[in-house]
Amino acid sequence: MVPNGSNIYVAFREFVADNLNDGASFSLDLVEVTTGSPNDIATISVDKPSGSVVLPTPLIAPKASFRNVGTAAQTNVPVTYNISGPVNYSNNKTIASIAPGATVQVTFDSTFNPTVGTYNTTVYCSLGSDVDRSNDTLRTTFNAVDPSYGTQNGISFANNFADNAPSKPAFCWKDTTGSTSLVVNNINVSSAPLTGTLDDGYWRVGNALNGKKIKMGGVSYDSFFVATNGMIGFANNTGLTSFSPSLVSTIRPAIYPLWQDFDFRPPTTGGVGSSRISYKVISDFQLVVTYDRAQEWNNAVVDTNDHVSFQVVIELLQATDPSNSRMLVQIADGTNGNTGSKYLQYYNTDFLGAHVMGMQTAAGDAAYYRAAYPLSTYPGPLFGPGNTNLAVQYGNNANILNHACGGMQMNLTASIEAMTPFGVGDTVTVLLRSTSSPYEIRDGAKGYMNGSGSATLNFFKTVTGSYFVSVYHRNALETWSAGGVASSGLTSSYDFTTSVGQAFGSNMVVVSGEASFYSGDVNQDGVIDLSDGSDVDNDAFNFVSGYVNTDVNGDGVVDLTDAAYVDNNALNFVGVVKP
Amino acid sequence: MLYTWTTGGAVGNDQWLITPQLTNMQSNEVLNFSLRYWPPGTYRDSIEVLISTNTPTIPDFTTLVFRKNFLPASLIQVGFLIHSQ
Repeated sequence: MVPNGSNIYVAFREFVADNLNDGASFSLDLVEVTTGSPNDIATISVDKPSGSVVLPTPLIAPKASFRNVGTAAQTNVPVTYNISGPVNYSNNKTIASIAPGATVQVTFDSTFNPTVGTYNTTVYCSLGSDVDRSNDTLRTTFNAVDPSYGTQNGISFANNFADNAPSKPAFCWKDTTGSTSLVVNNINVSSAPLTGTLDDGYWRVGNALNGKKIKMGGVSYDSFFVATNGMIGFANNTGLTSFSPSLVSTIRPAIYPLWQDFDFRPPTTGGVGSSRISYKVISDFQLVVTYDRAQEWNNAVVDTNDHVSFQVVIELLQATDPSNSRMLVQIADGTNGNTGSKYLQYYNTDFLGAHVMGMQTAAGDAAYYRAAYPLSTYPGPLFGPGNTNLAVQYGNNANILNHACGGMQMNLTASIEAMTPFGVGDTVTVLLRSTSSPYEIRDGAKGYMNGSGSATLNFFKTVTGSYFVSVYHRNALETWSAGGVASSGLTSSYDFTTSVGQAFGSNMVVVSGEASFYSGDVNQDGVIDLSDGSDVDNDAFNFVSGYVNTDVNGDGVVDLTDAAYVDNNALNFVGVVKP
Repeated sequence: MLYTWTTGGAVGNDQWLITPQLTNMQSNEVLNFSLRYWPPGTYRDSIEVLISTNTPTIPDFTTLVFRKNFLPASLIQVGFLIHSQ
């Protein structure tokens, strides 16, 4: 109690409650001392809901606080709580009595059941004799969010539990056999240059995408930068050495599969297997970067089983593809010690180190699925219910975040103009695409097509359905099937050779009685023209030999024979035709 | 207007804004102020209002009259009878 007639000082103190990080801002204004009136009730705070409501949620009982700032005791004060938005709510209560200077928090009826969206709240008190109406009403805004999916800045994401999302991915851990290791048990085993240290650093990896591109924000990238602290950049940025996750960084373009302070010391006692970062390219259409048993850096404390395994799957595209790459992040559960029990314990008790999951384009458009410090503005779960495997897919179209699991074998018959009719075999990449625009890639496989034009291709995430088949070869023109090709989910077959009508737009040429893909798109830009011809001419002039794109007929030598195919098709303005 | 962010250091800051002396406070006088906090729920910052009836030095601010952690992003209005504290 401040005695009547006192001389006082008033202090406003702002401090950091967790002694960890300062980033919030307080604005203080309109400080004044006024003479109180006998009858004055103020609405002083809207306590619940506030900020973000994470769905699903039990029925909410809204709360608000009221203070008697008058000098007289009051009884039977009517108070009202209104919410407008996708779901509306209105409830009245009465404060039975409130003494001068006292604060009462009122709990309204627990019937508010929000759906996703933005809500406006209006809370007010209605004391009939109130002499100051200016402090009777408070208005706030809050959001109800489903942490499993969403869209920010044109980037959508959904996890494998997002049942209400337009689409959702499945969890399918990619086999890492044949991957290129960057670090194993704290030993740098990569020839790729490392910036920073094995604790806080990144490798600059180029020439690994076999001519394909990573596309983000409409920009194509042909290199990637793998950071020890759970980031993958697509341009060189020394910020990739950062161990401090942030929602306002300029580390871009990048995906943050799990930006956290990690190191790759060998797992301590109780851990299983090695700690490792590795990457591989699958069938020229997926880049897979795997973090095995990344050790949480915990103030230099060596914690047993405090590690997590996660994997990033990035779609690789033709340079001419108008889409952006979809990106999948998979977090492994505790099976086989992939993620350690201590890490899960810390996650479940909110003691994990700061971490961020999301992505950001070169232009600064960002989407965050999860951010925890450990409080979370973006509350996407790191694991599924019961600490199970989690998959999160990012992309620009919320309807096709549909990474799937499954297996299918396709028997493909095709001919390449300058090769197959002459018994020359070569490697082809086959993509299965949706039959509706934008014809997104559903799966891909790479295989050897023999000199008879037969190839067997194994797909690993194809479910029963109908798909466009698009075929790619190092110097043949990209060619699409005429229509959807049925897949049982187990087997499928397609024969391009029976007639030119087997290709979309009949875009093939008949050679030795077989419809064949046009040869000569040496630079894989979708048209056969003078630029392809000059590439061949240059290599022919320099007597280039070996497995090169300019060797159009696959005989191991670049010469005038190769140039003839290019020149002929360029003369006829041959280019890709697709839906 | 007081506006804080990272003023006072990147971590562990503790900032005080102290009014001039308010004299002869009476039982019907009310201290009013408005607060806004941003961003909601991200950082563990708190705000307190304290009263000293002695000197304007930190040890003398022994009467805590208001404390909030992680306010909603909206404006809140605060008013209380000083005499009742």
